[in-house]
Amino acid sequence: MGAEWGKIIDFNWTLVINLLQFAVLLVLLRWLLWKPAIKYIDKRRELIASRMAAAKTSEEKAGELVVEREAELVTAKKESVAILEEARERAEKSFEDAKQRAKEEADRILADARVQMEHERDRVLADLKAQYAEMVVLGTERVLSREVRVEDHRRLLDQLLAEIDEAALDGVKEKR
Amino acid sequence: MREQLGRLLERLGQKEVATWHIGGFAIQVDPKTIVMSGIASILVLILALFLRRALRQPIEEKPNRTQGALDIAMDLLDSQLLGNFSSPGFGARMLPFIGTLFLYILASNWLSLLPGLEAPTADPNVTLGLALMVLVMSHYYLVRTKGLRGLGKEYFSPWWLSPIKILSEVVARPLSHGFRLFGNVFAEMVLVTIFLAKLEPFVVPIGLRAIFGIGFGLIQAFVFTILTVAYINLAIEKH
Repeated sequence: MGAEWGKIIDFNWTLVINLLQFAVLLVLLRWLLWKPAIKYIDKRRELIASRMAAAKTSEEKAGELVVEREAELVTAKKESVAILEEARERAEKSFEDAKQRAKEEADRILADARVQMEHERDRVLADLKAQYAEMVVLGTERVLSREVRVEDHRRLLDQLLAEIDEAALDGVKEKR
Repeated sequence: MREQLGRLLERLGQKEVATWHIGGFAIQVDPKTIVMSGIASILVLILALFLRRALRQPIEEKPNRTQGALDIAMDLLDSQLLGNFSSPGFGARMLPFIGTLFLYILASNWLSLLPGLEAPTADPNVTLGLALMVLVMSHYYLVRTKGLRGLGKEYFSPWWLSPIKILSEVVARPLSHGFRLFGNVFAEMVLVTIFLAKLEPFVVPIGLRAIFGIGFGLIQAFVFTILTVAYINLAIEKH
């Protein structure tokens, strides 16, 4: 083997030997690095994809839950409005019933009062009649104590009856 | 130091070629390039072992720093390189080849940052070899996708354009692909050497190498790999 200075561009067997060396490097790297690296990258991508999918599913579920909760909220609001409306209606009905009952009670009291008044009036009238009778008797006594002519007697009786009627009417007016 | 740089500039880019005589055949090789390429490959393997260890943690646990970095690197690889394939499934199948090519070229380019080491990509044997491999692979996938009829159609339809097509696709494309990387790495090496020779008293050499080398190596590795993706994609794409 001898060594000498060659040219800058000098093709020789270095080209072939170097290519063989590269081929060996390619085989070794394929086994040492690329296979495990590809496997690792694929697994990582799968893992990332599965985690992304899980995150997406969770997000979707969360979205569904939000929609569900919102729907529930709307229903609850509707229910509360309905309950309030019902309560208001009930209160109104109770108020109306109470009002009606009070009116009925008032009417009844009024009617009772009227009946009582009528009874009172009748009683007063009866009293008056009794008094009239008494006065008639007194008048008669007075009349009888004088000379009684038929005309006088009639006039006195008419006068007396007119007084009685007037007195009776005044008494009734006072009672009322 | 100046004398050393002078010698460097005198022999800049020239390779020390060793000749082995095996059974009447004279086999010429550049041992330094082979050793440098081997070192770059070993560095890539060490990185692979380190990453492999980090991948042992259960997948359900919070990713550790290395796993996080690997996630970002794989995403970048996917979006910047493999995403250019017309079919995502094919892109995933090409990951080991494209990923290895990128890491190998990157490690090779960055090797020149270490003192006493050289970038194997500064040797056209390495870059043209890789370009020829890409050419073979693109034709392999072309035949697999479109069949031999598709291959014939690619070059002989219309027939009168076939010489230009053969010349551009089989000769010019790998040459430009391979020499582009070689030319860039070589030019960077020349530039840095001249800068070091001229500005050595004023500029810290290691800082300059790092500034030039890191971004430059990354860009060159990316460009070579994305061209590989483009050539293979052109071969499998339906017209």
